[in-house]
Amino acid sequence: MNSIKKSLCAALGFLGSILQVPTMAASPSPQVDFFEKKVRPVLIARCSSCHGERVQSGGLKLTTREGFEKGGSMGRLVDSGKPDAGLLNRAIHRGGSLKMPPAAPLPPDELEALTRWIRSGAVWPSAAPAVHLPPGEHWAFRRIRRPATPPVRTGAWPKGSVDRFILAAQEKVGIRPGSDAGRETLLRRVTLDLSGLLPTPEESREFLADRRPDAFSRVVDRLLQAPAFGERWGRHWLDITYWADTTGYARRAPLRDAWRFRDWVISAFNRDLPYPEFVAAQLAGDLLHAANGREKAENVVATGFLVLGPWALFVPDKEQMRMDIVDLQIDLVGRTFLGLTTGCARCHDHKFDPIPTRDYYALAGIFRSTRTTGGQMGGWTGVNRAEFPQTESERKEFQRQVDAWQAEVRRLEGEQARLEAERDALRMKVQTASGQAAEATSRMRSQLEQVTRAAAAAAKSAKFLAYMKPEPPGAHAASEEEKPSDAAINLRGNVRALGPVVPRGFLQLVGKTAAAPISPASSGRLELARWLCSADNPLTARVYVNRVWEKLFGVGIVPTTDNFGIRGETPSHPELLDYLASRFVDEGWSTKRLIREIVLSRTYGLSAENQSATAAVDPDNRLLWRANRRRLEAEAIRDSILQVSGHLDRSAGGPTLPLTEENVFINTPSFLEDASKLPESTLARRSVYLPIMRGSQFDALDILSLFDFADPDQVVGTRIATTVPLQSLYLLNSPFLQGEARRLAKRLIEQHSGEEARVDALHRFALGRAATGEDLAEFRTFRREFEGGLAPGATAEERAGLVLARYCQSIFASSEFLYRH
Amino acid sequence: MSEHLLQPVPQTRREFLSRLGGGFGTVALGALAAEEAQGASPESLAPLAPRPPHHPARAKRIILLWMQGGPSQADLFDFKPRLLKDAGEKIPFELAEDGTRYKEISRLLPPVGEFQRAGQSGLSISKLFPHLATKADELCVLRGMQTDSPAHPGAIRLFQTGSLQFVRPSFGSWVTYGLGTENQNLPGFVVISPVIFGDDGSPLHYNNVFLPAAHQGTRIGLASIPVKQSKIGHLGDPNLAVDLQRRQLDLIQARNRRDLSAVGGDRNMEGFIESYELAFRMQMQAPEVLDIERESETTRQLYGIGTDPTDNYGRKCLMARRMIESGVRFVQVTDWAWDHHNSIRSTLPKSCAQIDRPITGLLTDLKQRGLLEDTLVVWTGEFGRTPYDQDLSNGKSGMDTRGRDHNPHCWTMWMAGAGVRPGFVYGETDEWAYKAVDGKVHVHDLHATLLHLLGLDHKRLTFRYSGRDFRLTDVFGNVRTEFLA
Repeated sequence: MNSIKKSLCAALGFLGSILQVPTMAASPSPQVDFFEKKVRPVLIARCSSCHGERVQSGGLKLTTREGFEKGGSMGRLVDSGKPDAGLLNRAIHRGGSLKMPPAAPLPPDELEALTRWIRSGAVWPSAAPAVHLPPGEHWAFRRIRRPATPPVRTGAWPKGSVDRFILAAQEKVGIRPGSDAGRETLLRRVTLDLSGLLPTPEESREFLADRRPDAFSRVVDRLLQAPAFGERWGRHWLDITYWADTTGYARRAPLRDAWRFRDWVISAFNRDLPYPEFVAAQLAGDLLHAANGREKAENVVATGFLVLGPWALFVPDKEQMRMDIVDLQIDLVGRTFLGLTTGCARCHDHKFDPIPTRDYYALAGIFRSTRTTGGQMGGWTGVNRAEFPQTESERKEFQRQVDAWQAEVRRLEGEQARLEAERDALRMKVQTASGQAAEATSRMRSQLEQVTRAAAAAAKSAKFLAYMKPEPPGAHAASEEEKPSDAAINLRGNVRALGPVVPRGFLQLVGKTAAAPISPASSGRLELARWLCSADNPLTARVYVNRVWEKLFGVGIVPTTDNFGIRGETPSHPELLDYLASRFVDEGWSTKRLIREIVLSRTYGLSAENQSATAAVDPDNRLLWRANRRRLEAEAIRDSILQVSGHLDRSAGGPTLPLTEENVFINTPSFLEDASKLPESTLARRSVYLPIMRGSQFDALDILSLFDFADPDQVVGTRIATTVPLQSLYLLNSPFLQGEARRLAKRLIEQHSGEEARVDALHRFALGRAATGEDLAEFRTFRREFEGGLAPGATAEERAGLVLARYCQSIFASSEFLYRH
Repeated sequence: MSEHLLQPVPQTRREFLSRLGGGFGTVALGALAAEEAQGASPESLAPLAPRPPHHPARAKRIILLWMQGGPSQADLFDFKPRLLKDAGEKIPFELAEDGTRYKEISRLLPPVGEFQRAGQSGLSISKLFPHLATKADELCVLRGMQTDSPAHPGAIRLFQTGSLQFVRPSFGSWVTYGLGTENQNLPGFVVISPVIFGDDGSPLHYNNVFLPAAHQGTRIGLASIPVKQSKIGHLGDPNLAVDLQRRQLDLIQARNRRDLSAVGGDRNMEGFIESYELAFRMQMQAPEVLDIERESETTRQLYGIGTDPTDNYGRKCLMARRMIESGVRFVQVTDWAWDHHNSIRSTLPKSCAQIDRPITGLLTDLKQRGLLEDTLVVWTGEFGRTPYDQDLSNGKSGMDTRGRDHNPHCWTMWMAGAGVRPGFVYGETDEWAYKAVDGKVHVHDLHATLLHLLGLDHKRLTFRYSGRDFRLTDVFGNVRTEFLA
């Protein structure tokens, strides 16, 4: 798909939508004006909840001209011959059996407006320009105000404020929370949620033995302090960035320094960087004050957020490329921080949210003044790179590397030249050897073949080495363009059809904020970051706390985590959302504190047990009367299997792209293939450290795509969990599961004597509980039957190992292991 | 550890089953029984077991040839002399709301290729489809298709799920939910090479959503990867005899069921258990069905396999036939080369050339095997294209670089096979193929009609979820008999 298409399809919204905002408004006719000011607002306010975009009672939709003209199941709404006799007129005057709105008559002024409109012919203007949606109308655009904690009847149940909000909503519909989860379940749950790993048997023992009232909060504090926390939550953040180790589109060119951004995100979560600083570093780290060279380097790395993306770099039209990248950046910033589909306003005013094209180009000016691409990559534009400040010794070290590289290049070139000369000489000989004995000729020929192969291999190595030229320490990063400037509106999204120039700025829907205006000398990225986290921006904190909630409960308070606009879903607990958001801000925007408060709630500790009476009222568990059982993410499945098998390499960070001569296809530009070989050492690392390609994954990492890993080209606030037989086939037959199961069986046999002890140890680690009598009996039956089916001739030991390995695999493949309860 | 001790997997299905007979598992045998019994089984026991339709079915299965992007009706099936005559003129007709921005800037674009009259029926069809033209008398062509969105995401969702904006079960999921599937060893709903990333693709388009998970579409490959490189991975364990594997699976399933009963009802968990059974059964038949190398050279050539540019789509179509023949209920075969915004003059002929022989070969092959009697082939995109051009260079480049924009007001699709009138054209558009004027068929109506052909009443095919009865056609849809045989 080409970029033009993408912009076009993103651009075209649904037919006949409402709530559009004028750009450069031509003065409308009085008739249109009357409709927009007096009629449409009434239709939206009084009718659209039943006859709108979501619900069309009686088949009637009153939010579009088409819907209005079509009417509903009772027919057309107006009778042009006899205006007073039309259906709509009779309904609002409550003359017949149909009385609308059903609950109460329209206020006199609204009734009068509609009547007048119907009498004057009920003209619904066809052209798009429509009403301004006042920013205060949509819940998400209203200021966050800290709500009072609601009163509840079962006062003994809540542990804290979160629980009171949850319980109050349940009491309203007459349901009650279910039972509390057992301690083992809770420990496994919180450990998976905060670290992406399983509690070790020691951790379980310790917690179960700890009878102090604050035993659980001690566990939570331990988990929040552990490095695994950043590995888990950093990956959640990467899901809503465009980060990957390669460029986008057909050519997956490796980006050697992309890992640095991943590591920075992980470290930011571990340091609990306050959210405004976290945001500012990613948007404008290069512009922040740094105390020293190291801090400077870190800030530069953080801007990888803006430059590592699915850009199509290998395109000839550079202006198109530039605006396509700007578009993706605007969409990224809009979705990630604000939960808005800002990118939709590229070619026209946003169809649903109050984002005029003007605002889009105000943001476009900021990113157009930012350098994202630069240098070159195999003959094409490369990703912008910034070097770190270096000390004298670092400079020397780098020079040493370059020298060594150069020496090796020279050596290989010499080798290549020597082999090629030898080949040419031999070739000449073979050509002129017509008179010689057949035996001698064939010997020469085979020698020629050998030398030709060796020369080709040397040439390949030389090319690869040239590609691997050392670069001074640095990162893929954003920087300022030399002359920051405002952008002109691209009419209909066409980069060459320029309209008025728009001053750089932010979205108007947020209203006035205390954020500083953009200085003419800067791109405005830093100001943008400040504006995002200014106290009066209603979206940023709400969107973020909702993301955190979604990771802990499986469903956001607003289920559409990446869309808080008109088209997004409404919050299940609006006051709770605002409570969390305002507390988050008041407590210094600390992610760890936010998580701590949520996981220490009684709601988080509920069991997953079903209660049919409650389920009848709330089948989707929107009111959180029980825990949601969820399948683990691909990473958690893989990491916990490696953890239990004892194979997991816990070392943190560093580059993992498999840049070897075998893997890199030297070309313009050079790229990696799915079949690239990943070294064993990489395959033992936590999944967050695996190299990530755009488009499709390395074959060796098919577990990621099979279990719904987030597409790096998208902002994926909520992962989908599919259930398909291809996953079952993987669990039954993949070399990964079988290999780790064998490893685990071997370990269990080495460390425990007797099969009961082995089976019990397996249960304790993999499932977080002791093996029951039923489990043990089941194992014995399995062992007997499975062994009976084996070919004769094996030793008893071999048989035992084999059976245990298959048993371990079965545990990995079972729901108790693969689900978070 | 000595995996070599485990016996090799038997090669044939018969052998497989005979080994099971004396072994532990019973489910596979049960599956075979279900396969043989034509009657209904309780859904809770086997969600994919064949179920009787509401009324006698005309079609038993569907192959959807999905032309994602929107093929251009005015260039392929809906010839307009006016467009040829007035090429280059300003737009002479009133534009719908989604097109008003083109009023001043666009010009009428003449048809890309020449047209011809084909077959006894005299179907007007572009010469870009020379092979397909030979099938003119078997095609049932609808020219007045209607959708509700001029943008890919909405229009694709509407076609694939019946809903423009909400997450709803896929069409294919509704079909297997309604009818089950004829072969318990294969998924009932298969999607070959779909687009699943980006704004225009999502796994949700093939998802069961709230229907039981067994009705989720099983994906083979991705649009961006040649299907030759796509395979279903891990289709068997070369080191383990199948009866032993069944024993291992019995262990897993026993534990899964214990786990499920510990918490009570959970749809996802039930789906998880069912998908293991399907996976296990797939091992014995899927490798064979997917292996198109088993086909004769003649057949492969019929589909254009082995030659450019037809190899890729040819493989997909042949794979689809093998699946349909093996009893898969619904197969979608994706091609995504149809979004011709620019240079349509050079790109459309390429798109046509890639599929012309494969789809014609598919029709021939199905007919030869008697499968066209009860299989319906549907060829369509999510919408059509405009009669006027779209100039993305703002007047800087020549006419040859221009293309056509999306058009939801009409497009042409065709069907062939079970239950539709062959050699028949239904619906008419205005002089420019811009809007349908007669015989409009909305996507909801098409869904209702296709279900009708499958023996399902779209109003009775409901699923109660969250206190409400859902159906594919929501509150819309009329069965359209005008073009049925």
